[in-house]
Amino acid sequence: MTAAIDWREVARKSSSLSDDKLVEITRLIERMPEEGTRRELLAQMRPRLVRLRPPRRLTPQRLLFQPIEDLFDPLDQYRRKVGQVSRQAVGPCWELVQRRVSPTILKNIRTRLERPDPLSPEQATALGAPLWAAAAEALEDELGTAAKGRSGGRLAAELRDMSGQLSEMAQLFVIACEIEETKSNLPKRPIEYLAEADIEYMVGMINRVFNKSRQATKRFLFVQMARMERPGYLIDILRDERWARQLASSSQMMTDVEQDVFKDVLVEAGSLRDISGGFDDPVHAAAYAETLVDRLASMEKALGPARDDRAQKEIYAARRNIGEFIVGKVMAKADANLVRFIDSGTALAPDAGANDAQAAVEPQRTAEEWAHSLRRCASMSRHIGVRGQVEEKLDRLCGHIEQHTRLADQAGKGSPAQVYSSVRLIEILAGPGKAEELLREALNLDRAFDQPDEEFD
Amino acid sequence: MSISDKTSFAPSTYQDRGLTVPFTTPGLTLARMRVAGNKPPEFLLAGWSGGKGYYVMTWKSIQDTMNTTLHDRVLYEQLHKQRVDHPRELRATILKVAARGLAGPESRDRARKLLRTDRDYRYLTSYQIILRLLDACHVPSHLLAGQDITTEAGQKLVKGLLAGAAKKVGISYDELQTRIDRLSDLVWPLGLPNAPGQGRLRELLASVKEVRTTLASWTDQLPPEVAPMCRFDAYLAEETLKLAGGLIERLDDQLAAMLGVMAYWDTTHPEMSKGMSRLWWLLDGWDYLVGLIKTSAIRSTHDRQATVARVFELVPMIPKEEYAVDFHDASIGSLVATQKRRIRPNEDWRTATLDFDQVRQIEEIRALMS
Repeated sequence: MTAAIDWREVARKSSSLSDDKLVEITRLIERMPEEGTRRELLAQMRPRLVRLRPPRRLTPQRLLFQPIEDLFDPLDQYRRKVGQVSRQAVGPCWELVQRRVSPTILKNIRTRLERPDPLSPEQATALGAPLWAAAAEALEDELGTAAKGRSGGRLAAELRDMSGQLSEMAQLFVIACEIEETKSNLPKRPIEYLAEADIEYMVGMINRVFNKSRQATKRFLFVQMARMERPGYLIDILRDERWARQLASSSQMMTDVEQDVFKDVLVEAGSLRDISGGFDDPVHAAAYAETLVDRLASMEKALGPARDDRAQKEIYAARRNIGEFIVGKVMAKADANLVRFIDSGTALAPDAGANDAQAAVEPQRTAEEWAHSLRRCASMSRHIGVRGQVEEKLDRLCGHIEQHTRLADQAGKGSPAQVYSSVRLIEILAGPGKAEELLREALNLDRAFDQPDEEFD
Repeated sequence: MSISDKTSFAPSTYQDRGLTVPFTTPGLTLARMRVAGNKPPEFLLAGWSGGKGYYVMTWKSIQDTMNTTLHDRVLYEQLHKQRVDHPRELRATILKVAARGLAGPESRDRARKLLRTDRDYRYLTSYQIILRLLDACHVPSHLLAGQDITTEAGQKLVKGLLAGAAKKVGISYDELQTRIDRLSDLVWPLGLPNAPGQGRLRELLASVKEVRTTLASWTDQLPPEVAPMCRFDAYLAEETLKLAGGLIERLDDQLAAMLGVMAYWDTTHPEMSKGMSRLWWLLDGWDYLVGLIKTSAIRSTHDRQATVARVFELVPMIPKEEYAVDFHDASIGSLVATQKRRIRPNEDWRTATLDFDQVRQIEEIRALMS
């Protein structure tokens, strides 16, 4: 087996890797000299990379766009959203920056990036600061000129076409250092929860940005909303009197951002029907749907009931789309995969013939990943109107696992290892209470631990 | 709170501090279990719900308050049933439960591997004790070289050599064999000085050293609010290293004089038992912290801050009976207040049930524990 084949296998299994392992593997792949292999492997891992966004090997172009990356529209399901920046603007922007920014700045960056020692987030911000400032200035200047129709040529025409996008980019470059500092000082994206110290930091940074550029504050808030798992949670915090009175930005600005973010979530949910590929892996699809439900539900909660019929209809449509998405992309596949694993006995006899630790762990972990994706469906089902369907499916699946365990036991084919594997799946699918019931029914725990068991002890 | 008040946070004895139990339920991670007499054990939950100090709860109250994982239910049942009250027995029970796969497949394989390694290392230690004893008694140990001592012939050879050593020690062969077995049981987790491969406790100490170095290197890079917490964590690691280093040095000295250990058994064995026991207690809880620092993707300032705050919450305080801790450079009261600003909820926000994503993170750290 060659090293390349090993890496392909790793990339193929990327959906079941932990976040930290995926980050490490991405780092190693990016060091590979052969660009073709590198691209191929990264393409296989893209579904996870899109969600996780591990730090990539920096190039001057990546460094330039690093502060904006949270707002770029997704590659595979493009729908124009208010709070996002189109990737189409990246090319003309980079071309312009290369032309207008001092060559010394770009040379310094290239020299530093060629060194083998990695940059800390703080060092990357310090390195990018002159580039972002120069890029902001160049964009504003060029846009001003292009608007007056003074310059000709392809680039000028492109700039005129994309003036809105580039103007947003210019605003973001103005506050790029603040965006990067905030990323470094708050939890990793997607931010699930902000501790009190984090909120205090966030409020302080919003005020700093507001004092630097009132215009760019709205963009800064879009970035923060995009980094949240539940943007509504951040809205709740910033509306809280304790924090709201410390905010320098106006309440009208906050209201505008809230409305725009909500519209964007609805657009994203609306585009689910058009997605044909990209979600073959039920684990990835479940994680994506959960993110969308979190965003939608948190915004609904933060903004309160919809004020008119049209808005109400849009919300219902969004929920229905997500419901259909998880039924089609997650539940059918994960359920079938799990049943196949259980029936084959692979997941329930994880030690069979496996000599190395990773191979021994793999089947059970894969089965648990599928179980987790179904659990995610159950957790979000009440928000999207498919609770009945999900519960029925889970009941049936749990029943199947229990029956399989009992039958194996009665036929004398079952082993304690199989029972423990089964209860683990039941625990994920139906909770620890039900798993405990099955465990006590299938095994005499006192005896199981009192007598030394070659299989375990 | 003034600096002098902070020693009130240090427990009086190791038993007061309790055993560190690596539960997998968020909110129960590293709960400390105290056992007293025939009463059910009680659990100390540090910083729970962001409150100051510790919550003291029975398992029943915990079950009434939160949804615990199946792993934790089974682990508690075994701890209670076997009346576990020492870190050494605790580790054995933890591995037994984890080997069943109840803390996830990675922990299961890790536990099985550790159980096998422990068994092998205990055997190796026993063999090393025999060799060193034979050398000390000037009995030709080289006769064992290349021999398979598990065979009948090998056993006979060992028996003959040990009978010679028993005469030199002035005890019967059976008594010598019993002492070798008991000494092996006692010291295999540490291993003999200069033995091939390191005992688990020596390895753990080396990892604590790495943690101390990592924490010390972060101190200057952290914001002023968090830096004292990091200094405190590093300081406790340093003090633990000093104390454990002293204990190991004393034990190594004793083990280097194998003839003396066997000849003055009634004095040396209790002394060594006490030393080993203190070492077990001193390092109790550190392996989870080592795993926590290893698994944290410590890339951003925030990651470092969050890890430091978590370590501060869980770091095992050295009890007063062991050492008069004197923290001159920080007010633990203000540090506790700072740490409380970094707590996070333990349940799934959507369903208010067990947060399996957090459980998985805990299981990942558990899989790295030694």
